[in-house]
Amino acid sequence: MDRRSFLKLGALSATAGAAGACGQVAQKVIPYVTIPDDGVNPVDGYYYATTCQECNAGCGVIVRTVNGRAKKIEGNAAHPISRGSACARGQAAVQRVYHPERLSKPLALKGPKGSGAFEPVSWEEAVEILGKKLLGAEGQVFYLNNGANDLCSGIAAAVFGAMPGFMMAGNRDPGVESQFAGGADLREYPRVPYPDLENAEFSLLFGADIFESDRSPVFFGRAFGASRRDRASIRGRLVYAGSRLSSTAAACDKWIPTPPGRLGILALSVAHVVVETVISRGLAQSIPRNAMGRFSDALATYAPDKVAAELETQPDVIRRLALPFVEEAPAVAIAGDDMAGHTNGVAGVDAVEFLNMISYEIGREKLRIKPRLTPEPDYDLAARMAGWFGLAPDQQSFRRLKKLTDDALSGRFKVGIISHTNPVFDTPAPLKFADALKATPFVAVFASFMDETAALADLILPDYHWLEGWSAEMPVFAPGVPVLNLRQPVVAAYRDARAQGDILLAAARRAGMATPADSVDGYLLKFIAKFRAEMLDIPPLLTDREALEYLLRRGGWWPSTTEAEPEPAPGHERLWKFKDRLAANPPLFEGAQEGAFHLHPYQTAHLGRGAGANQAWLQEAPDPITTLMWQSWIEMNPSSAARLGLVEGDLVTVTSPHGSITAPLFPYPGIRPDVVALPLGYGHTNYGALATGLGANPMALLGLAMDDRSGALAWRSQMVTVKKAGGSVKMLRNAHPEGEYKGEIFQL
Amino acid sequence: MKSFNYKRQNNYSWGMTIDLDRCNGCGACVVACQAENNVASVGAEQSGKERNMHWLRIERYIEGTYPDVKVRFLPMMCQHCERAPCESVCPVYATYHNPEGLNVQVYNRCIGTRFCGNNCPYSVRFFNWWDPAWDADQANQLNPDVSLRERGIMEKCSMCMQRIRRAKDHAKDEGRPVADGEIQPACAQTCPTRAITFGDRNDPDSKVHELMHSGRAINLFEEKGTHPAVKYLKGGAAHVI
Repeated sequence: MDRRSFLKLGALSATAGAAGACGQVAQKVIPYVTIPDDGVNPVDGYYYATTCQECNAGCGVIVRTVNGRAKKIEGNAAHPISRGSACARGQAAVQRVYHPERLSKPLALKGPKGSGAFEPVSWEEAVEILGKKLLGAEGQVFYLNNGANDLCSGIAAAVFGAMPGFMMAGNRDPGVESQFAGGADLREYPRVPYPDLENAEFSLLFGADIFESDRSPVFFGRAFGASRRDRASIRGRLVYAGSRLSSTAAACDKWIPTPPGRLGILALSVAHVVVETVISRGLAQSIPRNAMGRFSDALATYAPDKVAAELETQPDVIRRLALPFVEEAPAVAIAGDDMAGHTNGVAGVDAVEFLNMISYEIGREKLRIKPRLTPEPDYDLAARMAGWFGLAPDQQSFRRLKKLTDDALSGRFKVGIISHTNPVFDTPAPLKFADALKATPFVAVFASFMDETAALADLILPDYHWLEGWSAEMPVFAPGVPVLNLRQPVVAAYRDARAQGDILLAAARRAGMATPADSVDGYLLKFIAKFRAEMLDIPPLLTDREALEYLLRRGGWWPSTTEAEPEPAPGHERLWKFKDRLAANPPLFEGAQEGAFHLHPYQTAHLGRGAGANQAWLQEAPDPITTLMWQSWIEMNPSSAARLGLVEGDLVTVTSPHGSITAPLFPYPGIRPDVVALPLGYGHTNYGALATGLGANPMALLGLAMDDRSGALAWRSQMVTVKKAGGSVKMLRNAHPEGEYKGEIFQL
Repeated sequence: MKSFNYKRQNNYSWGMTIDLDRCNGCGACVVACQAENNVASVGAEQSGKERNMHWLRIERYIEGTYPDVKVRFLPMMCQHCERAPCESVCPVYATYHNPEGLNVQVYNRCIGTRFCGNNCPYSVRFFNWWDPAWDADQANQLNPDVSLRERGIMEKCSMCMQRIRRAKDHAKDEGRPVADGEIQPACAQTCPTRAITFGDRNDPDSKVHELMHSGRAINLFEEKGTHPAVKYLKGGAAHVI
């Protein structure tokens, strides 16, 4: 053996010894720079289908739970409204379940109303208190919710509906009733449809902030993405007309600034061009010539040349907006907040409906693909479903809320029940809702947090978060197919909460009233029994409870294909009904004077009307347009700001005949010089540590102007004066005033 | 930088496309990211010092003057650069490029020099100036898959590493490669407009591969030569009305 062999052998046996000792051989050296990307050890958790309740859209969601705690909310891919997505507010819902300020016990008032002297009571005591009050109420009861068509409102209607003095109302988003009313008696159903943005090549948005607050931002977001880039060679084009360049308008290709309250006139002018083109080109032979003549006469005063000056635009622009509605490609018009929020709102929504119907009629005749117009083929089913819920036909409007408030002010009601809505904060001050609560001897409020309305209650009932209880719901808006949304206890109640329905039923029993079921559970099963009797695709051998479980696996019921059959064309009969309504009154503005601005309150995508203001995620998520966080602001065109000697951050006082608020200035070129905009949701006075005292509430400035036809609050019809308040604040922006790296990214 | 055995070790190369023509700036991704990754809220005072922790933010650009104004949105997160300026300046290798093409931050190595944040041209690295605080109630929501960070370290978008890992675990159990679309980071999953697409750039049949080669893809700050794994898809209308 030479030296070399010896060394080799020695090395080998040393290695073998090491291997024997440790049981493994290092295969290779791992350099310091490549360490494993561990640090994560993912668990699967359990996933439950349910329905989001952060707004009235009714998006189906899937909730991930680990160790009995809700962790994350995702969209339910099978659901026809959410289609697999969720919005910022939906994502943030889990933060409400585990919010440190969430009420943990029923609270009974032990002092004068509004004193805040609440003491915790047990649920049994709370039921006893409410039951006794109902016993002595002699039917003089009101029930107010946020306008949802859900099981709780069904139970309330079933329990109290028989009492002669009972009144029910909903506190819905401002202006939305004008959208319900516009065209409602021309369609066969009273719900607001989702226009088919997805299949349109050209969409004309009349102040419709569909990605922020309108109907479902998730549904419209999906349709928008699809219209833009899902089709091989077609890219959907969108034009937004309105007085402010909202974040929806920012996503559109073009913004046409229009004077406030004139969108109806723009729609009628576009309709004029469409009708004249139909006549001159001989399109739409199915519409009788005399009908077209009648439309033409009615619309004559809205010819582009006559109204362009009023609309502060060029006649050619109006003509170009109209052409897509008579051309080959599908086009759709969408009405929204900036149209519906004026005193002539319904007239505008009517004009938009007319535009859609006539465009559809042309398309049907030429066998071109047109977007769906009236996307709820089985309206009967929706109506029957409402019946099974125990709901009367939808009659909610701001006018009804005003009547309820006035009645309460006159002392008509003995008991008021309010469910998860905050009208003291989010209705105009002149409505005097706070006074109405004070004038009502006993008010019970279902709320998970102390807020401005709960603070005026006699009894606060902290019921389940929507992730914790049973419910069923019919979406407020018509998503194109009949939909039943279900909710289930995804997690056990985090606080000592109860189901609202159970409390209503128990209190009613205490008051000796007849109840439709023993519990929410039982009421839901009764509903399911009625529902499955008609829905033959639910396996018949299942018991009712099994059928409920079967449905819960998907999160509810809807037709297995979400591709609705295109509605048969409306036909000229329905068009004919428009003959007397193609006119828009001039808008009425309150508080008009020299140098006054139009007030443009709006809902942001994150805070909505303010329920999310106590959530850190939503306060800190930068506003899409201003990128501001943790504060409210007032938007003003830079030219107007310069005229008033104002720069960014300056505090300005906004005054109307009804009140006055102060907010810092955000100069924004995307707003008309005669308009100032303020976001809703800020300015809470009693809503926990994060929200209270943050920003200013524009509701303090609004009057009670309404659209006569719909009874909707004309929340964009107020005029205000603006003056420097003195002082300024630092604006908490998430980005450079005009976007970081502007120079570099400009070429996009 | 790509390691020498980049392709041999496995064949995944994760990438993302963001379609600027689809994005409508709604901000769902911002909150989804925060919910998934235990990203702390810093509050009003710290926000005023520009100490927000959002791993993903929406850049907003205002062009023009009234009435010809255009506002654009651009979601911005870690670009997972192949030639990442942050990696080369870290004295402790707390940030490095993993074999699947992601820029990874190792929290327990970080000593908080903030060199990486300083060197990042995209401003997408975030320093924990304070221990993030969750009270006992809110801690119930925290995602158990994602480690909590503490004061003095940097953090940033991980492309939802925990979701990648989970999908790879499942695929391994079933003896198959990860399927296209199986992994969705929180931002992509929630995006209502489907602007965000994630997938394997090495898979020629993947959606992300198709989009990256669609002719619309661009790199942000191309001139800096960072070779991002996130591509933006440009596109707009030649004519509107």
